[in-house]
Order: sequence, then structure tokens, then C-alpha cells
Amino acid sequence: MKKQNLLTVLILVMTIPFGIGKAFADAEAEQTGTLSVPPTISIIKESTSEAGSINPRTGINTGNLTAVFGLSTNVYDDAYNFIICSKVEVAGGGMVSGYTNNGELIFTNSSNLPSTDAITDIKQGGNNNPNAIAYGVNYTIPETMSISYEPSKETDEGTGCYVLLVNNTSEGTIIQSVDANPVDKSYSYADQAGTYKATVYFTAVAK
Amino acid sequence: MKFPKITKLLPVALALVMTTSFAYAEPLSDIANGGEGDNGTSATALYQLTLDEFFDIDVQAPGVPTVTVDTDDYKTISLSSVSSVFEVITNKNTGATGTEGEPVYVIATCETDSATNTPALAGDKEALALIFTNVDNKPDAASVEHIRGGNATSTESPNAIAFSMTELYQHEETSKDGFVGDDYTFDKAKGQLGYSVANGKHHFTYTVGGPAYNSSFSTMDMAGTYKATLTMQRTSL
Repeated sequence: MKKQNLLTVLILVMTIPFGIGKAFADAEAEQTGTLSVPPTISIIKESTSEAGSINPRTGINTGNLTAVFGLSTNVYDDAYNFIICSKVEVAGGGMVSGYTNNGELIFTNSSNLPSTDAITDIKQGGNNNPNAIAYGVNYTIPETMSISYEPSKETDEGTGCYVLLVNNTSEGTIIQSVDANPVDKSYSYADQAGTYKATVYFTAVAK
Repeated sequence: MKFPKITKLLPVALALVMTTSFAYAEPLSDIANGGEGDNGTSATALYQLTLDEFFDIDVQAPGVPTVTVDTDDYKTISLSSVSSVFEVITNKNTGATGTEGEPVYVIATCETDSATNTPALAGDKEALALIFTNVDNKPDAASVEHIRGGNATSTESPNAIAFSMTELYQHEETSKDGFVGDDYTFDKAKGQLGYSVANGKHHFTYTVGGPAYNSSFSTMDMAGTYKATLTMQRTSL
């Protein structure tokens, strides 16, 4: 009896630390555990400088406009498009894509909305675009990432947005800053007094 | 030797260990953010730039004209053309309908022995004239009024001489066609031209020259410096 008890105890002790895996003695049992980790993306606006003024003689803005976005993700470029889009309001109440053909950011006068013709003109770098002003944008991103402007990329408001390639980087800070000087020919005295607005949004879209 | 207890226990032991080893890590949850339209997988920035209203008037002073007098009879005088240019720059909101505009006025004055700002426009809207007066020998008000009234003889307007003046309006960089030019108002009693301008850049050119207007020159006009002043301002007299 004692021997049996001792053997029993020994077996118990041996079994517990080994945990998973095969049972000893006469039977074997094996189980496989699986995990399903869902795709997870987090995009937050960490800080911004979103307001400023325009010098009426020169069109130069003094806002030091900046948006700082934080990105965390466990899915990458093969599965998602990470895009930075823009939208502006035009006469008639609609919203259109707010980048020029060169990727400059368009602002429109909320007190006197520009016509769609003015938007077409400013996108093409013309000089007949009352109540719309364009400024260049720059990006600061992690070294492992890359970003480029794709004028033909479809967005909810039309075409044209910046595409960020995360290149298997799981997190980082993406900073957009707006130039002070207006794009050549985009500012003139035809641009009436008012509040000029542009909305930028950073989002991820499944492919 | 039987090990019934061990057999039963083993699966229990295995289950316990498996659970511990395969514990799931909590997945990253969507983090709610502040800001417009932020929902964890999207973040938004709304930029706003204020462009204040402004209205600016600048002037390009005229050059010094050449004055030619017929010394045979001292009855004719001729002035080489000289121009004054006013530049107006404004971005003021002129309304959605396009019929509103910002008022701006050009006022012509000269000096008499009783006033420094005597109205100095003669003629009519289609044929303007500007009255110059002698700063060293100022005329009386009646001398200027004779020319302004259009019935002066050469001896009734001593030390006051008028010349024809043309007006030219040009605009650029406007979101609406500037509604000026032929639509300006003419108030002779005030010596005032009135305009209504849309936002943009506008140029108003006034050119004076040629022979004396309407018999306003004679030997009654003493030698000296003759002066007329054009002033552009945003308020009416």
C-alpha cells in the first residue's frame, strides 16, 4: 500500500509540471490550442495647431498649421490602405477632394464658397480660383515608412490622397505640416475676406 | 497496478495547465479619441484660416506737365497730358448677388482766397474738366464758380484755369466684374465722382491736358503756380 501511494504521489508530481503534452502511462492525449488575433488599427490625433490668419496683402498664413497623428497597427500594406485625405466645401453644399493635382492642400472660403470651376482651376494650378487658396504640405514620418501623393486614388469625395506605406512597422507618429506661403497663383485679391477651411482625415481602408 | 485516480486526474491536470498556457492577451481595442470624426481607426484635423477684410488706396502721383502759352496774344494755353493713378485693393465681401460693392469717391478741390477745398470739377459726366487755381494769387470763389457754372468768359475767372480731364477705370483680380467705369456718379456741386467696387485690384486714371477749357484762360491769369487736388476716399462729402 505504501509503495502504491508513493508511486501515486510521484506520478502526480511529475505530471503537473510537465503540463501540456502527452500523458504518460498507457494512454496518450494531445490537444492543439489555436489563437485568432483580429486585425487592429488605432489612429489618433495626438495634437494639432489648427487655426491661424492670412496676411491679406500676401496670402501668407501665420498659423503654423500642424496635425500630429499616432498610428498603431498589426496589419500592414498588403491588407490595408493607410491614407491621408482632404475634403473642402464648395458652392452648392457639396464636399470635394481638397488636394490639388500636385498634392497641395486647398482651403475654401466658408463665407463665400467657391464654384466647382474655381476648384478645378486651382487643382490644375490656374489663376482664376476666387475664394480658394492652396498651400503645400510636408510630412514627418518614421524612417521605416514612406508616403506619396496619388492624384488618381479614389476617396469618398473624389480622387487624390496621400498613401502611407507602413512597411511592416507597427506603430509611429505621422506629422503633417502646412506651408506658410500660398501656392503660386492660388491667392489673389479675388479671394474675399472670410474663414478659409480645410478638413484632413487619416484613415485605414481594407483592401 | 491500477492507477484509476491518476488517469482521472491527468486530464484535469492537463486542462489546468493548458488554460494557463493559452491564456489570450487582450486585443487592442479601438481607442476613442476627441476631435471631429475620430473613432479610433480615423482621425481628423480641421484647419481654419481667417482672412480679415481690408481696403487700401494708393496713389501714383502725376508728373510735372509742360505748359505752353501762346505769347503772341496770350489767349491760348496748352498743357501736356499728365495722369494721376489711384489704386484700390480690397477683399471686402460684396455680397452673393453681385450687385453690391464698396463705395469709393474721388473729390476734386482747389484753393480760393476763402477756402482751401473749393469744389473743382466742371463740365459733365461725359466731358469732365478740372479747375486749377493760382496758389500765389488765389482767386475768389466767384472766379471758380464762373468756370464751374459753364458760363465763364475769359475775364470772369482770373487766376483760375480749367483743362479737360478724362477718366479711365481698369480692374483685375476680382471675383466679380467690377461695376465701375461708366456707372460712376458725378456731383458737380461737391466736385465728386462716386464709384462702387467689387473685391479685387482697381486702377483709376485721370488725365488732364490740352487747351484751356471753355475760355477759362486769359491775361487775367497771373503768372505763378496753379494747383488742383484729387483725393480718393471711402466717404462721400
